[in-house]
Amino acid sequence: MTAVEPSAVPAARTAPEPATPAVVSFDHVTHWYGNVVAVNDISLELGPGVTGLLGPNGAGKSTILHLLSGFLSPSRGSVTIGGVAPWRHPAIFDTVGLVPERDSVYAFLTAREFVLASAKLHKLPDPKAAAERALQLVEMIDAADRPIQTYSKGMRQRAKVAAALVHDPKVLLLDEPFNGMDPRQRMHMMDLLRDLGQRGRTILFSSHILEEVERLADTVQVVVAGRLAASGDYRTIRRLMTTRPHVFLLRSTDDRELARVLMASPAVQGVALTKDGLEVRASDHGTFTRKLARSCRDAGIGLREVIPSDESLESVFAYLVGA
Amino acid sequence: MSVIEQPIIEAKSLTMRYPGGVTALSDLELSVQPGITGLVGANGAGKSTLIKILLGLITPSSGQVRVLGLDAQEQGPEIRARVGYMPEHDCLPADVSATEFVTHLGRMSGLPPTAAKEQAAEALRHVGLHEERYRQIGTFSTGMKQRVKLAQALVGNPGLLLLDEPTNGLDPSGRDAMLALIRRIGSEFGIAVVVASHLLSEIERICDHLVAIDGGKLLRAASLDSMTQALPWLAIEVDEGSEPLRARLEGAGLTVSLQGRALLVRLDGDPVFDTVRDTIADLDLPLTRLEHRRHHVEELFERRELDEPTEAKL
Amino acid sequence: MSTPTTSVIHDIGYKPYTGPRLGRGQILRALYVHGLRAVFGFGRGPKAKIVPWFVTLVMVIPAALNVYASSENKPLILDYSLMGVRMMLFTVLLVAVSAPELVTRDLRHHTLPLYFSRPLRRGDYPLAKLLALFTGVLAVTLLPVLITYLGQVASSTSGHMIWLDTRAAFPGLFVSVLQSAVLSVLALLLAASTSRRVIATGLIAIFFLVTLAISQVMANALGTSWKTHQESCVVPALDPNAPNLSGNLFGVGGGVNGPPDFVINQYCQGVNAREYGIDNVTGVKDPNKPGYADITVTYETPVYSAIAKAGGLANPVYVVEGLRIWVFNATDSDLPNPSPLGPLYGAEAALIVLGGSAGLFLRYRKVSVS
Repeated sequence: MTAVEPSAVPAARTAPEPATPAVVSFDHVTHWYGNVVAVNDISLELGPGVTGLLGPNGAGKSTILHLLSGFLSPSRGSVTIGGVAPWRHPAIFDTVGLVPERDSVYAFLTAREFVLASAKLHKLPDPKAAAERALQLVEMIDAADRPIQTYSKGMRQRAKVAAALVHDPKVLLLDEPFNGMDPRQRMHMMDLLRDLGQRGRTILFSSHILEEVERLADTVQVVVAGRLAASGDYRTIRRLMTTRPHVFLLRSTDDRELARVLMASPAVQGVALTKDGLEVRASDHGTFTRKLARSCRDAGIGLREVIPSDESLESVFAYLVGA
Repeated sequence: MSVIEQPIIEAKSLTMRYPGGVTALSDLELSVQPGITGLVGANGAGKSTLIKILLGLITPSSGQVRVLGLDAQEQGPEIRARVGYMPEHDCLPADVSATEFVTHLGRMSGLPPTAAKEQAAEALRHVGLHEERYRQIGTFSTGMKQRVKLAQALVGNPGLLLLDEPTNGLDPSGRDAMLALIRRIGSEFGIAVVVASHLLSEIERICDHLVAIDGGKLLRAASLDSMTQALPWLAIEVDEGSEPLRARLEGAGLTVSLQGRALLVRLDGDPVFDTVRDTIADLDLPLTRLEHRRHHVEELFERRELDEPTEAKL
Repeated sequence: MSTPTTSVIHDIGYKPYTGPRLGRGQILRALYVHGLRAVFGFGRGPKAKIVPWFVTLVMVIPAALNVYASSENKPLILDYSLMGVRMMLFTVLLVAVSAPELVTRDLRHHTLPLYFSRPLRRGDYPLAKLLALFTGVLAVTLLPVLITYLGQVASSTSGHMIWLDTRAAFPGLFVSVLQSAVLSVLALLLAASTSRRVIATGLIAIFFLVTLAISQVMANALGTSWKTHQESCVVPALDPNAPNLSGNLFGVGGGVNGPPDFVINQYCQGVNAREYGIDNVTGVKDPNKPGYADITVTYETPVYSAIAKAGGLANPVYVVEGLRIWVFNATDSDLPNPSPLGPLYGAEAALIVLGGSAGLFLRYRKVSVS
């Protein structure tokens, strides 16, 4: 499902819905703590695959994850996982695994003990084997017998993921999973999550590192001040922002001439000559991209580079938050 | 700005073995030039050990280090007077105003009372804290706290800034602002900066040089330009019709492969650009991207996993 | 040169600092001054000033009464040497609030890496904090001694009186310095063991109160017996100028209505008539010295067990007090004279100050920078 709040674009537009069954669903969910509304009338559905949960600090990401893991009950609306409401429903823990942002308090345990404890908590038939399997999955076998307090941040993170994965949950929730990981641990965690997503798990992770979200997530959910500002594929979301001109960086054999040519097109709002090339603001994305190559050829200008500079998740996010 | 001939940091066969048998650094050779240098890959013991040695707080098991031309073992206090350090973790008191706090730490850096006040006001202005600087730090947002942490590192007018994960905990807009600030400090202020970060994308954005440490050894030290060199591949993205485009380009004798949503075309010379342009124009396709493929810093870590033995020699 | 009419855009960009930089000694001094201000709540909110200034005010009260007494030529309300012990609870209150103020904030907010990444050495931080607390406590405890002394000097009529008063004030100074040192070291060591200010204050208060209770139980309740003494001495039998020296003593030989206390105190060495109960006085006229009488005073002195004598060792304030009694051979205290355990008191005081400081320095060696 893709939906954009009216705050981001003048009229909400919806792209065609994919036909995957929803595993996780929020139906007009509002949650408040006292007078603070952390989540405000959010409706969303998540299917198998990796979804990124984005938003500025304090936008309500952790509240959403906690609502899903059954730590909180929605003040209004309903949250369901596979049709079951997680709040006060311990059986939900068999289908959900949560990796919290905070480090566990059991720092004196070894990773193996920690994961094994989690396996026993889930009353798995063979907790030992399940713990080994989970540790293997996060590549923590070698260090599994050291107390968690001796670990680096990335290793702690992996131990937590192993504990959350021990019962092979259908839904995996992660709060800032990449925090403190070094590049290799990051890449490894990304591969792990991507792989789990491809094997049909529903994975929702929050992150501030948009480059990572861009690479890992199939879809994103953007929360701004408790409201769901947009959801879906970020490129599609960008195209839905029709009032915002698309910015392209162009380099060519003759930038000045190209600027003249482009200014003649009604699809182009403005062109700026910079030291790196041309910065073009196109109001009509379709017409501009379709005409670009031909205009260059007709004018005899060699086109060297076309870079959409505000198509990244980073700029989409900035537009959504700033709007 | 005067040209400094000697490197900002120079380490020769630096080894640090802890009594417990942990080897944090082993025979590390390092030379950091002026500008902004990214320090990656050193998780846990390696990174904090290196920071402590650079500040002259612990003595390495063997090897030499010079920071700003000073010997780290002999001249620790002198080095610490000229190096600003921003720790990774929270380090700010809640019930003091930013001005008071930074002024006090200015005194601790060796500034006389009046100079400490002036420099604190300047440092807070440069990091972008204005009227809020008279408020208690406890009321600050994460982004503002990170700025205070940066201001206290800046207050003693350092010749070198050591920033440990400066964007930790910041949301995207906070990160943007912090990175822009570091970039400005490194370029406009003329202060050498070493940024320890796990985020390679961040390092690619702001750093001039990169030092990658792995297993206590130097994995790679190079300028960022050389690590993100253009590859002879052109990535082409069109909103529709990438199959016919691929067929036409191959028909024109180009080497084409598909990577994600992009077509990669081997760039054998300038005529390739024109072939691509004309083919797209002929097919009337919406061209959304035409870009050189570049090396990424990340490859440094990917490659090592593939062929460990050869890289280990570095 | 620019004239007032010239338009200028000034460069307010980053300018490197080119002025002087202070060395480690001066940075240490700055940290010390910062700490000393914190002891009295300066540079903090108004709440932080309540306790230190309350304690200071309370300390001034006996001193003010003393000054009033001197001006009226009456004995002091609170003697120099007893000020330390009598005002102990207020001093403990001061350190229980100030020591946590000095160290727990930096521990709690992990500010120490910012200090240790600056020119100061590891030991400089605890040293500055210790000196600051010591100075603050010393200033507060010395205040009544100083005010009383100035009051006494002002109402003195002779140089000799001033000299006597100076000598009398000396034990007060002795107690003030030692007490400040012992209390500062212990309070700071306790405060640095936790990062929560409230817990630190509680720890310090509990530590001093519990040890105080133990000390008092040991010193008072356990194993005190009385020993009877007889002392013979020659006292003036008759002085027409002193009407108090009348009575039947010189003719018949005594009873409990012997010569007044101060006569005994003056002429019978080793007898403190005010402190010990005089049981009996017998006497006859001195056959060789007209106008004098030979008397025999019977009195009792308490005999303290070793436990009672060691009692003061349990509480740091009493360690200082016991040391004072032993050093100045004082008899005005609630505590027994620790002799022959005096050296133990001295050793413990030294151990607290030196060992406690060492412990504090070790505590700060362990703090990590990154």
